[in-house]
Amino acid sequence: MGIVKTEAIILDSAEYSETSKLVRVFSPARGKLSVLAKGARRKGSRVGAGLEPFTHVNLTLYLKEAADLGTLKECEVIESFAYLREDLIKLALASLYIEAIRITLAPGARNYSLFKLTLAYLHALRKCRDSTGMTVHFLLKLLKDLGFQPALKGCVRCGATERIRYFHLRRGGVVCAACAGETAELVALNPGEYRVLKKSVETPVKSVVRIRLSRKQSKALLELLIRMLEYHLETRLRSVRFLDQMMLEIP
Amino acid sequence: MHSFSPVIETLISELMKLPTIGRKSAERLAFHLLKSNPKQAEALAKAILDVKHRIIFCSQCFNATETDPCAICANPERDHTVICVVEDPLNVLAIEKAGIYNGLYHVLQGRLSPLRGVTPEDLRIKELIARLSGAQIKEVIIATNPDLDGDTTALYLSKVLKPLSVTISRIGLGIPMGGSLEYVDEGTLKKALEGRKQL
Repeated sequence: MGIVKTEAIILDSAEYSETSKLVRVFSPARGKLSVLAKGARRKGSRVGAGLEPFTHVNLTLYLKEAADLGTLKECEVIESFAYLREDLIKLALASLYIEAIRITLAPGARNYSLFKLTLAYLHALRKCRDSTGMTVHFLLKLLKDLGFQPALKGCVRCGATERIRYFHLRRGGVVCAACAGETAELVALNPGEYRVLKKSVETPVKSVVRIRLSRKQSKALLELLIRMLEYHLETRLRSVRFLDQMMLEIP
Repeated sequence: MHSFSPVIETLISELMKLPTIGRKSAERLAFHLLKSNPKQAEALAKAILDVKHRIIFCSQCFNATETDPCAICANPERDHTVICVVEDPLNVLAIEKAGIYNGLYHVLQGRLSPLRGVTPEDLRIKELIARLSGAQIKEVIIATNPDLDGDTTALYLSKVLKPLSVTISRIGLGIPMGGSLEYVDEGTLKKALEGRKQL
C-alpha cells in the first residue's frame, strides 16, 4: 500500500520503547488504526504534541497492504481541542465518548458519518454550558450509528404508548408499567426523561444542540446511556470511574 | 514443535512481564544471561531482590528510599517551605541531576488518566493535602508532564489545593531548547506565549 494520507482523531496514546509512541487513531477511511510514531518521545519531537488524545490531525503513514499497524511519517495538527485541558468535567465526558468509539470501532471499517459526528461533538462541547446534556445527545447519535439506537416509539413488549416507566437494557427499548415485571435489566425512566430522550433521538444533529435538559435529566439520562453502552459492549468503561469522581467533586 | 527447557521458558516468560519486552527481546536477554559469567547473573538476581527487600517509599514524600524519612526530607539544609509535586521517583532524579532545586518533593506515584480510569484515589493526593495542612509549606510547584494526563493532574491539583493558603505554580511549558518555532504546534505556542518573560 505504501504511503497513505489520512485525516484522523487520536483515540489513545501509549509509550512504546524509550523514544516511541504507539497511538490508536480513528481514520474516517480506514476505521481504527494503530500507528507507531518512532522518536515521538524524543526531546523536541515534531510530532509528539499532535499525538495526544482527542487531537484532530492530518497523518502521513507508511501502511502495508491489509495491515492495521502503520508507521508515522508526518503529523499536522488541525485542531487540538485544548479546552479539554481546562475543564475536568468536559474532559471526563469526552473521554467516555472517545472510549466508546475506541472499543466499538473495527480496524478497516470506514465510517465517515461517525467521524463527522465525533468532530461535531468535540466542537459543540467547547462552548456549551450543559456539557452532560450535550454528551447525552451525541451519545444517542453514536448509539444510532453503532446500531444500538434505543426503541422509543412504544413499549417493546406490548406496543403501548402510555405509562412508559422503564428502559429495558436487553431489549434496547422502553417498557410500560404493566409489562415491566422484575428484572435487573430495567432502568427507571420518568415521563420527562422519556420525552427528552425521544425528542433527542428524533432531532437531527444540527438542531439537537438546542434541546435543553434539566440538570437532573442530564444526569439520569447519562447514567442510562452508560449502562446501555456497558451492557451492549459487555465491558466496564474505564473512563466512567474518573467521570463519576469528577461529578462528585466538582459541582 | 521444538521448545526450550522449562527452566529457560520460565526465565523468558518472567522477562516478558517487564515493560516493552516482547518474546524476541526476552529470548535474547535469557540467552545472554545463560552465556554470561555466573557471578554476573547472581549480581543481577541480588540487585533485583535488594530493590524489593530494602527499598521502601518515604512516608512523607513517597519517593523510593532505603531510609524513612528519605535523605531529601531529612536534610535540614533544604528549603522545607517549597514542595515540588512530581509523577514518579524518576522525575525526582531528573530534577536532582539538574542541581537547580533545593526544596522538598511529593511523588504522586502516577498521574490522573480519564481514558485509563486512574482517579485521584489511586494517587498520593490525600497525603499531599494532609502534608500541606500540617506544615510550614508556602509554595507548591506542580511538575507533571506536559501531556494530557499530566495537564489533567495539574488542573485537578490546582483545584483541590486552591483553598489551602499556599502559592501554587507549574513549571514553565513551551518551546524546548534546540527546538524550531516553525514545527511547534498551536498548543505549545499558546503555552510559550502565556509564559513569556520580560527581558
